[in-house]
Amino acid sequence: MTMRKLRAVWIRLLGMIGAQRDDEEFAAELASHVAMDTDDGVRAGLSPAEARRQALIHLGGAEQTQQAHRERRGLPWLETLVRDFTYGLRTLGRHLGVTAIAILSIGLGIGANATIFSMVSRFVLRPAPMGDPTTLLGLHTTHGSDPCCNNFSFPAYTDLRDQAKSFSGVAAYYELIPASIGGGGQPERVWGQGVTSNFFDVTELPMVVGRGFITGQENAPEVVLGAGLWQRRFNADKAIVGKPVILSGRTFTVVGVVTPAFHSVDQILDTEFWVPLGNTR
Amino acid sequence: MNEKPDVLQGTLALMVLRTLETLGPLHGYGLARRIEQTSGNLLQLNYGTLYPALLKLEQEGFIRSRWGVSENNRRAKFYELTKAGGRQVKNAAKEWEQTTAILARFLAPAEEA
Repeated sequence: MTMRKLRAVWIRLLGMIGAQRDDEEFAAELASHVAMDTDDGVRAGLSPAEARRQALIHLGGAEQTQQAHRERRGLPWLETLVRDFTYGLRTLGRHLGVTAIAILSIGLGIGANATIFSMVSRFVLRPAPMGDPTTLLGLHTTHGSDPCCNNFSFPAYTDLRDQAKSFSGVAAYYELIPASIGGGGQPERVWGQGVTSNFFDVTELPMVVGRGFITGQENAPEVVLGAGLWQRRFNADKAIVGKPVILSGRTFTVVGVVTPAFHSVDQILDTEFWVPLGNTR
Repeated sequence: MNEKPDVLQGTLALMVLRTLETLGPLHGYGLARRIEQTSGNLLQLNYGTLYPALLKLEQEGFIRSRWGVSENNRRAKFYELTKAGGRQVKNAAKEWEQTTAILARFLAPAEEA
């Protein structure tokens, strides 16, 4: 039964083409119908004019029948839709200014949404590429009734690191520090973070090349580069490890490049280099 | 879009198919007259409603049509049952009998009481 319905819809779809010829054919069919009905009327004793009048009454109006037939032949709602659509296009074509503004604003809207989504996707939806995010905790101190997020003092951090038995390791990082990077091209301002020497071990971040810092060397003049900065300024040089980089006038030795997916622990900041925390004091 | 033509269309299709099955190829006017007669003139058929119903049956593949010449030498379009139409008559007739039988059960006790 469903197949039959489908078949009917298909034929009606085809029926939208060549409607003129179908109209003529059905008009001929109706004419022959009326003629036969008139013949019968005349045979029953009516005058030809009266017989024809009766025949048309029986038919319930030739024009109405034509219309009902036409609607069954095609898919009227689809025809209307197509007509409305072409009418809409024509109207838009006539008002080019309005059309341009509409396209522009819709385009901007889509663009803005796409941008916002890609940022949300990058920072919020996609977790930071750290070894095992489920066992990684963020620690904060609270102060009075203030619910959130005060920094630890450094001694509090060292106590925690040395005495807390529930953690396999405790690392710390400090807020963003700006630095100007020179050498080999235009000087550029980049943002980095001071982190404890065990930071890359605790977070289990994969490295593109090289390694993280050596645990305990909090003042080592070493730097880990973000993959973006490495590609942009150093042409993704695989032999970068061991080379010097000058940050705000101080020379650091590159020890590693971190995976491109990593920007910061909370993914919201776009951090491009990391140095041992002692360098930022 | 009132209800009457809808109900009529459902039953009209079966009347058309059954008439074509018993009488063989017929033109639209002949079908209309025949249905009227068979109904004992109880049915006041608006002949115009017949044609969309015929078209629907043709689109569904239950009947097919071709031009021919009538008994009075007039050019007319003749409709005849297809194989699928023959099956459809049997199915629809069975369904209809079931429906009327069920309805009869509901109506019978009320009349006896």
